[in-house]
Amino acid sequence: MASLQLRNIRKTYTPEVPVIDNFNLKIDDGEFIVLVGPSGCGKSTILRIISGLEDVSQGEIFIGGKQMNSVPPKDRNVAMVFQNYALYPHMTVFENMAFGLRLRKIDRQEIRRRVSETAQTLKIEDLLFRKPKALSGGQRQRVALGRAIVRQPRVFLFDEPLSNLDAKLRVQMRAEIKRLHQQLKTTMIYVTHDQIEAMTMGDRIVILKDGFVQQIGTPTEVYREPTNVFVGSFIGSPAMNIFPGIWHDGQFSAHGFTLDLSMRKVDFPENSEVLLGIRPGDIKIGKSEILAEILVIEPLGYETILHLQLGNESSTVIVKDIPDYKTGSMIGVKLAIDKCFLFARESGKRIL
Amino acid sequence: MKRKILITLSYLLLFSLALSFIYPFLWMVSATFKPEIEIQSPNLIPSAFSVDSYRAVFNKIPIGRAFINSVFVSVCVTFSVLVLSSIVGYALSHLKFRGRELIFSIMLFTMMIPFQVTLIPMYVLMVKFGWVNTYMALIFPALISVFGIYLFKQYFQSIPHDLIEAARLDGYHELFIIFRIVWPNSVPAIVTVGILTFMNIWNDVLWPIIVIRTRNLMTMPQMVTLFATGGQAEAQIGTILASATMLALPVVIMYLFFQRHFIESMATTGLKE
Repeated sequence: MASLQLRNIRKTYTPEVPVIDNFNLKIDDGEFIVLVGPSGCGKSTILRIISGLEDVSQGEIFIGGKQMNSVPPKDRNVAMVFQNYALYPHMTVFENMAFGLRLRKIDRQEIRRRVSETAQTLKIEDLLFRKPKALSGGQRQRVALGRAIVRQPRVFLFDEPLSNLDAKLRVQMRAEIKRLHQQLKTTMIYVTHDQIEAMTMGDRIVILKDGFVQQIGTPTEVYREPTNVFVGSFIGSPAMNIFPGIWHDGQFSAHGFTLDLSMRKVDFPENSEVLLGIRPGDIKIGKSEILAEILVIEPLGYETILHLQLGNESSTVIVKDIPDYKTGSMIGVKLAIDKCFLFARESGKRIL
Repeated sequence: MKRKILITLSYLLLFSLALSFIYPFLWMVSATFKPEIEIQSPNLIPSAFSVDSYRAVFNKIPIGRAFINSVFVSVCVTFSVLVLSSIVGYALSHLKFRGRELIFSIMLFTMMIPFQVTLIPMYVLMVKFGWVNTYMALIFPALISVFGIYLFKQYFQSIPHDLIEAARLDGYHELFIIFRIVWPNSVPAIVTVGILTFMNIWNDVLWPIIVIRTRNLMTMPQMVTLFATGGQAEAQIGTILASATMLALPVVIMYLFFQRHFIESMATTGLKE
């Protein structure tokens, strides 16, 4: 186990365009950190920088308090689980798991003990003498996890390990990785583009966009207190509803509705262009002056997602049960004023 | 019914084409077992079975020694080409370094230059090194092959980079990764480069004729060519064909043995020759 620190990391492939710029992160020993963001935001590059598979253009990496910039990947004592499993196709599951240990001159008995123990934990004892092509996606993912675990690394790195699995298996494996973290108590860094994975797994989440950190915080913090409109709309499913409008005299005016926010203190110039954000669960259906047209109804059983046309914008609302609505009909909507966010339109920064 | 006729016709056509390719070879092998008087006949089955042609070859030239020379040179070169070309192919496909594409382009360019152009400079070099009339002249210039590099590069690109990186994290250095991870997953490419290199060296006549004078160092094609054209065969077609059959047989056997991998690799790399 080890703490990890990334200081002023900058990575460029062409001098003008940094993939990552001024990235700072301190990860405590045993913490589960999730790096999340859209494709191309630099999250996998950060993981590769930590592992040593990629050099930094600038900045420092510390693992367990030691600077690692010039330490080769094999000596960093980190293990990585890849998106496409990266199992050696010509080796059996046992050989795949033991491969990394043999170089480290670990005693044969010890290798056998570690592999067998890990196989038991991951419930893959019966697969030890099969080759990867004879395994299902979920089993391969378990073997990939096993290969990382037997190494007993100081830091685990996961590069979108569940993205090749089907939805059901993904949920199952998500819980298994979480359980594994609780059991091993090793520092884990997990990269994903799926915000649900990020919210459910991480002790803290790092949200990235275009190589820059947008926010670092616990799942609750980033959900409840987004620092900008990107974080607000990226975290949460369905995504936060965003309405462009004007801020004037304590009121937010958008096309089709006006909202009185005078009860909340906002220090922002009059007649500025702003964005109002509200989560789908914070819009209630009922008698209201604000009317919206139902575009699509998505019943999920325990709740229903309504896609509405509100003013010029389409928005989503979550309602309990399966209501008796019809597409094309008009309904009244109430926006919970105390749950509304305001963002500056130009910078995207949160002002309320 | 019409479909059945079409299928039968196409099979007949394919069979006749295949026969036109294989017939000369079968005839050559069959002729070596015929008495000299019967050789002109196009029949494939000899009326009387005879191994006199082979006996004559062994009596007239040291074909056994030439066979050993050919095996030695071909095996050395094939082994070296497989090792060195795969190392370069790996570097060009999985390592990042400045000038990688330029180096590859220059390598490809050298493939366009006919061997005859570099023949004289190469010979001069061999003379300078004092390697003329030694195994070194036969082996050294062929130790690495651009064609092999090209084929390995193309094939290795299909191996996921994650696999290489997983091995790096497991603690293995690049050479180890090539031979423990990449090679076992590149059997078709190895077989293809191996067969093509072996065939190329085994069948080469021009270069050995230029650099080898001593009979004891001659390779089989050189020996067979000199035997067939130098008057030693005394115009006996049976013995000439017997020596040619002995020359062709190892390559044919090798191809039959590895053809599955060979075809697979050609399909994978999109290479057609």
